[in-house]
Order: sequence, then structure tokens, then C-alpha cells
Amino acid sequence: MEILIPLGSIKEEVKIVGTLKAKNITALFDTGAYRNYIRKQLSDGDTVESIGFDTYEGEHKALLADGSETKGERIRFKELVIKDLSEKEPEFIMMENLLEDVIIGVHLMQRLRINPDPLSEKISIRK
Amino acid sequence: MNLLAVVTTMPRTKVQLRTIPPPAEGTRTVFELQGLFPAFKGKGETDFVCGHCGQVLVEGIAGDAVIKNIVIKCPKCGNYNEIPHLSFAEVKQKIAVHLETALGVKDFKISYAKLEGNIWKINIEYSEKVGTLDLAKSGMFDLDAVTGEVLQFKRDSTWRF
Repeated sequence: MEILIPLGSIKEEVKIVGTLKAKNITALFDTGAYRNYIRKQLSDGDTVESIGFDTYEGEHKALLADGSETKGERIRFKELVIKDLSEKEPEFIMMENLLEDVIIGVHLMQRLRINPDPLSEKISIRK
Repeated sequence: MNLLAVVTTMPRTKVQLRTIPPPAEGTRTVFELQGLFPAFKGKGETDFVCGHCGQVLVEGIAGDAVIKNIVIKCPKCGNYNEIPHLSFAEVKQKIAVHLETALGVKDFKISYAKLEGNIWKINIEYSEKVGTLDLAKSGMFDLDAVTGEVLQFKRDSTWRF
């Protein structure tokens, strides 16, 4: 008999350093997303504006899982800290209607050598 | 002969800071002043005062001074004050007003913007009607992120980042 174990989502706290403040936010590490995303208004009521970004790179059209298209805006914060890793000037797509506050995509995970482990629902860093 | 001493002083601008809840540890740089204030003193014309009690916290800021991303705890009333900074939505609004006033342009797009010190350097795109044609145009802005003042606008030019 085959037993299927439903896998949860991989979430970890990350720190976003903006021009106005730094903020710890729980992020979803999503192997189905290529880029990084952030919700314009976070679940605790705080906003991307209050963290402060120093680069705005224009509008961005994103394709959702259901095939529909939605609009976002490309921005860069000063720094993103994940565990003991740091990414300077990380790019995020800022959007209104995200289910999660922050989504970390595959591109950044590959570059920082972050390994998402669906079984333990944690991330590990490859040395 | 009576000599009348005339003392002229420059008009000072008082900017009331925004009070915020105590920041979570490690998220902001907080100046807690103990008897020694104002926290910064310069020879400019702008003073930053506590948003709650009016105590002068920063005195004599000159127009080109860069003080940002810090929180000052008022030594008088204990409230936390944040140095003002325009939100990006406000930056867009300032540009919209400037473009409509200067060129009668209502629709535009920001194609790139970079905050350098206290100055937003911004590239925009818009279209201009010439006869029956809609011509694609570009322009560049320098905008003060603290005061919102448009420092520079040039048509048909863009910043290179």
C-alpha cells in the first residue's frame, strides 16, 4: 500500500533591509516561482513604502498559475538576509494581491545555494 | 544722533516630525538623548521638532544636509520621532503635478528611479500630441526625497544608471 504524505509549504523568516527600516517577515520559499515577490501591504498592516526601497524599475506583468496576467512593480531594497546569507540590492516584484507576504523564488535560491526540503519543510544552505 | 539697531534674522522653518511607536529592537537606529539636545546642530534654517511636544530635536539643518533613516527619542516627552521622507506614492504625485503644470501632461510612466542620498533620480516616459500624432517622449527628474521639491526636470533626457 502506498502512503502519501501531504507536503506543507516551506516558510522561514527573512530580514528585508530598506531605506527606512529593517523588517523581519515570514517568507514562502516557492520552487514554482522564478522571481521574488512582496505584497504591497503586509499581513500585519505594515507596507512596503514604510520599509523603503531605493530602486524602482517600472511595471512588471506577472503570469499567475491559473494563466491569468497581473501587474506588479519591480523594486529593489538595500539588502535581504536569509539565515546567515546576505543578498545586496535584491529585486522584488511588488504586488497588491499576493497570498503570502514574501515569496522567494528559484533564481535567488539557486544563486545563494539554498536548498528547500519539502519533507522537513525547512531550507538548508549548501556549502 | 540716535542709532537704531536693526537686527535681521533669517526666517526659520519648523518641521514637525512624525511620532511612531517604539521600534522593534534591531530594526532602526534610535538616538536616545540624555540631557544633551538638540541631537544635531547646524547653521541652516530648518529645525525638526518633536511631533508630540514641540521640543527642538534637530536645529539648523541646511537644504543639502542628509539626515535620514533615524529615529530620535524626545528627551522631554519620551516619544519616538522619525525624520520625514516622502513615500514613493508621494514622489509620483509630485511628478504628476509638475508634468501637468509644466506640459499639460496627465499620463506618464516612471521607467526607472533610484534614491541616491536624499535625491530621487527618476526617468519618465509620456506621450505628447503634435498635430494628430502621439509622440513618445522621455524626461528626467531630480526630486528631493525630504522636501518633495523638484530640483531638476529635463525633457528628452534620461538618467543613465
